[in-house]
Amino acid sequence: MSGLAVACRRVVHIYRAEAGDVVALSGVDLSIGPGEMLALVGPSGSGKSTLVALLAGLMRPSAGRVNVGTYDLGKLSDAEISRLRGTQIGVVLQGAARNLLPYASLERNVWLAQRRAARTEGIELEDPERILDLVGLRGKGAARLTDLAPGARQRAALAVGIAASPGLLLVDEPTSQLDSHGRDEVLDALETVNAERGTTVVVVTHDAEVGARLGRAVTIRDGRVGAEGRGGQDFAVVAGDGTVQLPPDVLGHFPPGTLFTVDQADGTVTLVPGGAAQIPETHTGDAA
Amino acid sequence: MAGVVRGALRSRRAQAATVLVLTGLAVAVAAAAPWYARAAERSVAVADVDGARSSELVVRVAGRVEGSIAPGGSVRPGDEVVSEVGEQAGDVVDVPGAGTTVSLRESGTIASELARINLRLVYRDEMCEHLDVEGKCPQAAGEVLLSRRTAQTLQVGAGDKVEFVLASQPPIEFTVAGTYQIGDPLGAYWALTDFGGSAALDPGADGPGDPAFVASDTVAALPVKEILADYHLRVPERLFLDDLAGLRADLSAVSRNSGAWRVTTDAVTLANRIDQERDLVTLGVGVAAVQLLVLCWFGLFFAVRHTAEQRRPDIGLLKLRGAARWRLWYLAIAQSAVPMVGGAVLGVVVGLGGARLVAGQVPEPGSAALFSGIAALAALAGALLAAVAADAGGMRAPVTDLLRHVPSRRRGWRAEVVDLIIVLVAAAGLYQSYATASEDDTSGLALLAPALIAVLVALAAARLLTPLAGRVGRRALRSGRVPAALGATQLARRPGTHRVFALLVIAVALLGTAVGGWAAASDGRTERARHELGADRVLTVQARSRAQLVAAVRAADPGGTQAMAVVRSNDGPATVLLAVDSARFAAVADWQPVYGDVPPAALLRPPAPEPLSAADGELTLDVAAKMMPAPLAPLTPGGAAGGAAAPAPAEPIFVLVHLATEAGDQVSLRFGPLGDARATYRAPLSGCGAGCRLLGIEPVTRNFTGRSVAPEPGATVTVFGLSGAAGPVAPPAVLGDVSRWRAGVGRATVGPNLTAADGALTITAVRAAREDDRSTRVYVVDAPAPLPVVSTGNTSPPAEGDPRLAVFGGEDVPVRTVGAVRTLPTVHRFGYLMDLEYADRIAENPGTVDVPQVWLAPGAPAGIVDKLRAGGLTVISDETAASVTDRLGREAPPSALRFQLVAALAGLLLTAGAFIVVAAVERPERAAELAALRAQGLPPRVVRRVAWGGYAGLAVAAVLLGLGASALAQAVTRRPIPLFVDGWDVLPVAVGPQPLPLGLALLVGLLVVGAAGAVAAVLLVRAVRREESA
Repeated sequence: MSGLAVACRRVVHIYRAEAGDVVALSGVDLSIGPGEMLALVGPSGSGKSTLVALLAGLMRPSAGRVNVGTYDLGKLSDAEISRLRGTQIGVVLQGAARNLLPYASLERNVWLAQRRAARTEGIELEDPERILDLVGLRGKGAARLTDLAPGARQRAALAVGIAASPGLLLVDEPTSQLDSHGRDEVLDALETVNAERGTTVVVVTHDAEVGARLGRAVTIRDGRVGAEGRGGQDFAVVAGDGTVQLPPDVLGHFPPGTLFTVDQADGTVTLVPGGAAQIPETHTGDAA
Repeated sequence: MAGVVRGALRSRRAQAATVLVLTGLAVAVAAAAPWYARAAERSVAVADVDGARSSELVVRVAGRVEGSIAPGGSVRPGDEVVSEVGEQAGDVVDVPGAGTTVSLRESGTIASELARINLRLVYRDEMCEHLDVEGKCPQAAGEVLLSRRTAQTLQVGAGDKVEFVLASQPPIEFTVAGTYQIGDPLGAYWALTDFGGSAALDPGADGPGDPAFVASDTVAALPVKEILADYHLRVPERLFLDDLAGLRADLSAVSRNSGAWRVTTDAVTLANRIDQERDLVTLGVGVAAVQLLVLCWFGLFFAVRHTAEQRRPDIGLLKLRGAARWRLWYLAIAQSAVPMVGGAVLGVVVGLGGARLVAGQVPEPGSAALFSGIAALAALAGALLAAVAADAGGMRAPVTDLLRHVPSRRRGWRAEVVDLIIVLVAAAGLYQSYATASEDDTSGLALLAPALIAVLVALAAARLLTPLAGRVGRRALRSGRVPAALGATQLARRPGTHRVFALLVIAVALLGTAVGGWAAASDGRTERARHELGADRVLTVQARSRAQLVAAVRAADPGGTQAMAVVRSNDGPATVLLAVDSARFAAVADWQPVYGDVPPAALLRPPAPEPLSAADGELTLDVAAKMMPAPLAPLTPGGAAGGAAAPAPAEPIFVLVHLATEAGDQVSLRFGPLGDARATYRAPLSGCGAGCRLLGIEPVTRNFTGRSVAPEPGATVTVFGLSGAAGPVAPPAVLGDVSRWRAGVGRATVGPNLTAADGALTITAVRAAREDDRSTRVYVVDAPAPLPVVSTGNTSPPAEGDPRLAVFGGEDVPVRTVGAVRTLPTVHRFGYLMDLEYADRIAENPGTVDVPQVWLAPGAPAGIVDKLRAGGLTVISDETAASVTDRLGREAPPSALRFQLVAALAGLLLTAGAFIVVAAVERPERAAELAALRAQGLPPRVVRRVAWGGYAGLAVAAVLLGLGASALAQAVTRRPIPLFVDGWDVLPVAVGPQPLPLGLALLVGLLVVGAAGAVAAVLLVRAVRREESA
């Protein structure tokens, strides 16, 4: 299957909790082209995993729209989303062990992950051995998760994620707790999948290097798209509501509440601080 | 997919093994229940038949056939009459396989020169095989076989002639062929006859005498219009065991009017009792099995639900990959179903094997096995349903929830509703059991009442557990008690803890109730056995007489502390009369404190004049006789009341002196004929050995047949002296003391008049309204009259007249109640206790329905029975309190209670297993938490305390609470299974919870549940260590 395009429009997600609601995403706008590889980076709690969960259809957005291929996930029933995950969206959870049944062989795990697609017309499935081969685990079909090294485990998880030949592969922290060699193996495997199948790959990571290697890295900050890096260069992104987040290093010089004048000339926007900063008392307290 | 399931089972083999064991247990109980119930039904029926009165195994068809003087009749051969009876009665009742006996009988009077006795002349098939005959059994017409007692009274022996007198017929002369004693008086042969019984006497209206046996030709030739006939069928025991319905059909004639033939039997009573016992077994076993099954299912539900926690990530993973629903269910359920099916197969084998081992073989093994199979399948189906219910939560949960490490702790509304429904059902059931239960009602609901109470208590306690533990945890944390805080907090936070806690409480409560019921029944059986027997060991014997019984027992136990002669008799169906050798009563009888204080011997045996005795040799009677005006005038109008001299007697007057040998045999000497003048008469006395007791003196005359009768009213005999070779038998001081002599005590007895003066006793015959009531017999006073008796407190004095009792089943004698107790040994409702010797002295006729017994104290040596035999007693039954307890133990209630006990134990093991599973499932997580705390400096000691406090503490709390629930249930509900199937309640049984059974249940509970808690705690501590070192 060729890659699927992804489009998020003003996506808001709020976790309801007894202690109070938590806004995890507060208006994310993001477009990913078919066959593109993209890294979602950002600090813990910024909303990366929530965004991936929404893309996987594991949760419904509180507001906004999430489109995968031609599907508006918000409008699909649970059964339709389940079918979508079984055929077109591959998900690799954080922690390799969470992706495989520990008591089944790798081949059996891959086979199980193919079951939904196997019953769907128009999908040609590859042999589990071939899929394992694709992620560099040739001849390991009979092995179990516990028999593998950490890097190989992560690739095994990847194999399960791509078992049904999905158009979109969502991978959560595939390189955490791996050494550089292991990381490279995993990234190589991802690139192979992307190259050979044209699968759209979205990787959630803390690792800026991973983002750099994937070519496009979208930074999520405070539930929004804060910046985007392409080709080694970082960009601020204008959101759908016209807001732009300053890069963290710039923001360090301007405490919250700082007033700017915005000048535009020759296509260049200049922010000029002006007037006294009106710092709310709480901020003062924090600063103290 | 099968490979995946295999892998899952391999990797979670501990959980699979537990589910296998739990299911095996449930299925074993389910499979065992029908088999056990069948086997127990049969064994209680066998016990019923074994313990049945012989009248319950016999059917009597009574009627009449044509006699020799019937119109158109003639003297027929006896065989012909016998076969006619067999044919006619056999048409009325036909029980296949039953042995039959024909009896012919006719009432009349048999007389010798010295005495006359009303009795029955009897022919009976096979009679000679059941009689111990001295002489020969009558074979020819005109021969008669008398009981030893009758022969003794008549003073006749083999070869002597006696006369048999039928009303309005000339006397018929018979030759005495011999004497008999019944060989097996308690045997079925004598059941439902008028001529059996342990004393072989007939209390019927026809007279008190033992039957006289004759050949069938003799009865057939009697000059009667109709011959009374009996046809007895001895019902084969197997019919009671295997074909109760068929037997009922065979006996349908019992309640039907069958023309000339009347059918009586107690077999229907026995059949009903067997039915009742079977119902009780089925119900008791059924309820226990259902209770355990439900417990098993809940236990399995919790066990599977906890193992399902481990499956959540698997399910989540499959859901994440969009797996079809059936695949999710397959993966989840197969992990429970495979061990469940395995357990079921094992359970069937173990259950059936165990039931067969414990309860034995059943009559139709195929059908019992089929029922067992169905029950096992039902148990398995329930287990699978429980598994489905346990996994259903996981199937409904969203993927994100399933994949989370710590599942959401939200408590669903379904759990609340389930709790509410359980509480409502329990409360409604409890109310219903109260509202519908009458005293003797043993409905299933009443049986469930203790379990329902346990459920209510357990649920309430479980509901309180979590918040209580939370509060304790917080408080402990505030006060710096880390182990308590950690233990309590983890208790509060562990999912499902309160459910398992509730299960443990219920299981312990059921065990407490089962042990309580078992112990109460066991105690009740022992008490009943002691009460019904009266002593530690009781021999029912045959004796020549009561005097011989007393003498033999005294000779066998001269010390008077090991054996006691007792004669049991009845005065009506509900009143038991116990005549005992009162001096030995306190030492030998098994007197239970609940009866009251032991009646002192002096109360029953106040001082009385010594008996007068005579030794072998010549007896000399110094006597004068004359006719005086009758002291009582006939009550005819215008008749002169006394005054006129009566005509001289037509027949001479004799004096009979009645004596009794030490063995109780009566010896009568005849003196006379007396002349008018005072003179001495002599008669030889033999057979007395060292001495005979003087019973009394009786002036008589002869009637037209030459038999002795009371002389005409007014006839007066004055006795001046009675002496033997060794000296005076009745010295003048005694003869002159009117208080030493009395007339008969019979209710209707009239006369004689007694006067005593100047060392002489004057006896005057009086008139009576009925000639038969007239008596001239004078008795020596050597026992108090009225007879002192101790009665049970519930007896009431007679509506009119003096209190009297038909002592030994003979004519009633006056009694005086000298004390009252709550009840007496062997007594069911009303009872009287009296001194045997005194009662024997005062009872004028031999009495008939007495049961001579020897009661033995616990320490009585084994050789005492031989001594009793040497004393002339024949032991015909030997019962001990233990053997009676054992017989009662084979009834239905113990069988049902036994199963309940086993089921309760199985339930406890099962819940303990569920407890271990819960602990095993949460162990990795808890170990990780505690290991993390260890890494932060938590001392190992605290880890141990947290582990032990969490599991062992929970176990102990559950055991204590369960016992509390059991005590409550026992206090507020009736005993679910009656102690005895016949509702026996003579002695008060301990009601409510008893400390000893509760203690026992506590011990077992602590052992089983405590061990499970300890195992869980130890394994957790080890897991923490492993986690630390990893």
